[in-house]
Amino acid sequence: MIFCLIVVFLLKLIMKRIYNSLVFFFVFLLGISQAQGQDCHLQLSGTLIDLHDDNALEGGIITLLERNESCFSDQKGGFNFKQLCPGTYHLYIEHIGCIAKEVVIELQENMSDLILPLEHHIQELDEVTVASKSYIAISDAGVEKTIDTDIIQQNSSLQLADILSKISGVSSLNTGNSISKPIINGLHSSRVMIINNGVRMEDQEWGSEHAPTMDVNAISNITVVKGANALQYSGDAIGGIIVTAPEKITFKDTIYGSSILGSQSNSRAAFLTSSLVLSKRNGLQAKLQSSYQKQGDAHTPNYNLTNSATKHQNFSAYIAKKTTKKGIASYFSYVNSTIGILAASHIGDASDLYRALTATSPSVMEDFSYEINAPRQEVSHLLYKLNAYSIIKDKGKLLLQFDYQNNHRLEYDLRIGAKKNTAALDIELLTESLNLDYHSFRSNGLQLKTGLLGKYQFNYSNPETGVKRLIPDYVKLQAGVYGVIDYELKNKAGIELGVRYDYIDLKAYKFYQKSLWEERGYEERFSEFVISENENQVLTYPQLSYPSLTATIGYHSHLGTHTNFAINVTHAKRAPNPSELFSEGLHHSASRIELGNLSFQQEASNKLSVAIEHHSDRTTVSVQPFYNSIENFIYLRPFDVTQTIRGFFQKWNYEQTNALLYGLDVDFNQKIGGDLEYNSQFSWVHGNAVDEHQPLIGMPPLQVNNELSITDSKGNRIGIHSTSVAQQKRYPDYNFELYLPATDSYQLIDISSPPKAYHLIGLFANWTISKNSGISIRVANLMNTPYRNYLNAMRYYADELGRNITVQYKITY
Amino acid sequence: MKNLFFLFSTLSLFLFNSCVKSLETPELINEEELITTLVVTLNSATESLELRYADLDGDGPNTGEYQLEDLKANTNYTGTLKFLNETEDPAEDITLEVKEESNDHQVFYVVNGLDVVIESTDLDNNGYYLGTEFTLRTSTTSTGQLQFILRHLPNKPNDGNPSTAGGATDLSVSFPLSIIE
Repeated sequence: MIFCLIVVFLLKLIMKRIYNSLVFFFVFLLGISQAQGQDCHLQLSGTLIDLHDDNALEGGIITLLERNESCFSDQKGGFNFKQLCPGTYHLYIEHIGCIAKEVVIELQENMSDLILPLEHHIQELDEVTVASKSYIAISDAGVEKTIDTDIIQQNSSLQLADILSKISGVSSLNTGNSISKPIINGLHSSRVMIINNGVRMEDQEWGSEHAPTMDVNAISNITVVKGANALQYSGDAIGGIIVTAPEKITFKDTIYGSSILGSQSNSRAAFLTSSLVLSKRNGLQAKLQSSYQKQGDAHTPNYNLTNSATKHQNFSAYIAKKTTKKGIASYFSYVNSTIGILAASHIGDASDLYRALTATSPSVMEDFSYEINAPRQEVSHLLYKLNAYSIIKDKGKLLLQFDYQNNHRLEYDLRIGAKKNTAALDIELLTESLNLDYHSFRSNGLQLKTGLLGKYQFNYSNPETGVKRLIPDYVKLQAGVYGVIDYELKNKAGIELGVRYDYIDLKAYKFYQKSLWEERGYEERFSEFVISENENQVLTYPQLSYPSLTATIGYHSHLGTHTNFAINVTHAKRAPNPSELFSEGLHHSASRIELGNLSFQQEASNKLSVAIEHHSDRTTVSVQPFYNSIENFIYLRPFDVTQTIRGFFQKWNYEQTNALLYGLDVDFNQKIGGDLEYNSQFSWVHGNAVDEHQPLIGMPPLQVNNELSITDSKGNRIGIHSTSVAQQKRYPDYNFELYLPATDSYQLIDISSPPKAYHLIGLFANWTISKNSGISIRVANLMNTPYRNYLNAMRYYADELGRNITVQYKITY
Repeated sequence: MKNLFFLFSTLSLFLFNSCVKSLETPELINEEELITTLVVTLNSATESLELRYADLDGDGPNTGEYQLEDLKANTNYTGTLKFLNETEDPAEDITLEVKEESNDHQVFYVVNGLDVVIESTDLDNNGYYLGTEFTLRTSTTSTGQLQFILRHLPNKPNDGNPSTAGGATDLSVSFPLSIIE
């Protein structure tokens, strides 16, 4: 305790020092940049526009650095400076969400037609330093894909991963109908980084049945960057990154809000989400947002999915004061979900699995209900962020961010007696991080971004559960430093280099079953970790460290006027996560024993991504091949069937292999004529475990999406959507034979064969009723097709959802 | 200035908070209602047999050990089941808890190849089968399997078929047995 006080005191002291030197720096800068007096009557005016669509940008801040004078752009993007002397001026231009820009003007006479285009396209990545910015900046339909506010609002009731699967190369890994997490180019969980409002999500993302704990209604848009690293946070996103950004609030005196009320036929769901925004011209901004959703049991075309009901709620608040020189913002969000786990998936030993695999319908089917019984998950995530920035005149921007996250996961099992209402899993993950970043302004085509990160993570497994800990108590410390240099060449070409170094230190207290400790040979290799042992268990204190270097190089250019080209090469490392290191025990919903490995090395990925985009007046085609070679790739595979007193169970080991993934994503857009538009996406991944000479387990099958839509001048839109998913023909055969006492015979347990191909049709329509209200209707699985999904852990037990009609009403005020 | 001061004080506060939770030696979790051993006692007019299956490391790598006996043909046995946790010393008798929460438990019997008839004789508080006590009547000589499955929260009443009774399995042990003259 006293130690903590001292640490806090020292930190305060250090912060104070930093602040003092900053002040000194500012004073120094101000001192050298005094303007001289002269007879001055010149005028400088112009327009701020969006580089991509030439739309006027309102509320941008234009600062005349020599005069230390700022103004806002008006509704038409216009701005005006008066009483200027002839000479050279530096204009510093900012707009919410855009990357700030500096322009040099030679002023000899009145100037009134200055056009200032701003890169409004990568606005979502405002405060996220993506190593491959040059790789993504070129393209509208390319490697970076954004889902905008409209789409999010029209899918207000969906999970993050389900919305993202509209993007080529992105699919979702499911556990039932309400737990889903994104897969990018075949990789998921710890390999996909989610940056929520500038904070890297730390929500026990390691488990495949742990969905991201966030509410899409709290965010304004989502950007997926395949094959890139957000070097500002870490270097370990070897799959890709997902960046969610808050609403951009303009600088003007206003107050507005919106609400969405909706209902869903399948699962008889109701949902409501509301937000209120307050903004002042002086830079004060605030937003409050909350949503609530309740779903009952979902149903497939043929039966109810008993105990698949869910409940979600979230609340978020944002307040900021921003000026042209500095700003401070604070964001708070709390998400709470209760998710029922399909009753039929709670099975005993492998003979139950055999029964489930051979049955045509789930073993438990009851009438519809809103009740959420055990087994179920209760997950909450609290996120708090405080950040500040300060412009260092003529130089750049200094950013400081602190964030705090608390993820609490409770999993309830079918229990009886005194522990009936006690969770079988109770894990609290606490993460705090501090980022200090510096972004220089571009000068001579060169821009530098650099920064430091310090992170502290604490995991606590509550022993009150009376069940062996799935994840042990641990403390993880991370320190990192990065630098990204971005150099603009002529003709909109550019090159980018990024380097990051991280050091991770992990200390855990872990009880091992003594028999496992010996069988694994840990006894010899890790004897120094042993603290104490009794007859059955060994208490160990593993201390592991993972230094890692991540490097990336990207280049982009234009090949003629209609074709863009980008290439990116990344070398990245990922440290094994707690689940891969420490797992030990029975995993109920999968009916298998899962075992981690203490001696894992870091994964090392070498990835090459290319994007070529061709666009003409009516057609846009984008082709994005990738090649990812991963050394020490960690994956879970079956290796044995073992008898326990609870029956026979499969044993699955986390193992390392050299993996090779390559694939191709294609996006195609054709404006047919009138208001008719055709969109198509194609995604294909090929994954191999090189050493084993066999396909990787769980690779997304080939998928093609097609969409035809008509939009009228008022924005009313109607369309038809189809999704075709092929059968995954490339899969490793992990089937096994099991002795069944009931029939005194050996039976093949087919856990490997992927489900058949399927084709789904959907409809959607958005209708604007008045200036401030509208209705949208979506129909998913229109034909009520029964199907199963290879990427759903519940595919052994039940079909996917049948027809689902969602109607929602939106009102703005 | 004021802003930054506010920022840093808040920061300090949170850092302080985090300090309070430091990594401490965790307490050992002794799993409750852990069953390591099944003991089946079979008494006939002339003899007393004991079948046993024990797996002390639960889902660990060690396999369990059987103690088996042959049954006599055309004999009536009365049987009792005992569930023990032998990781405790002395061994904890989990059968007591099973009987205490009898409404939430049931033992299912699965017979294959053996010429026997087995029937539960004890009931739960609602008058439905519990199954920790039973009668077992052997007929002709044969070999096969006798399986005991203990479940909690099965649907009650049921027809004694574990594949349709639901619930969660606490124990599932199958004894390879012979009936001899």
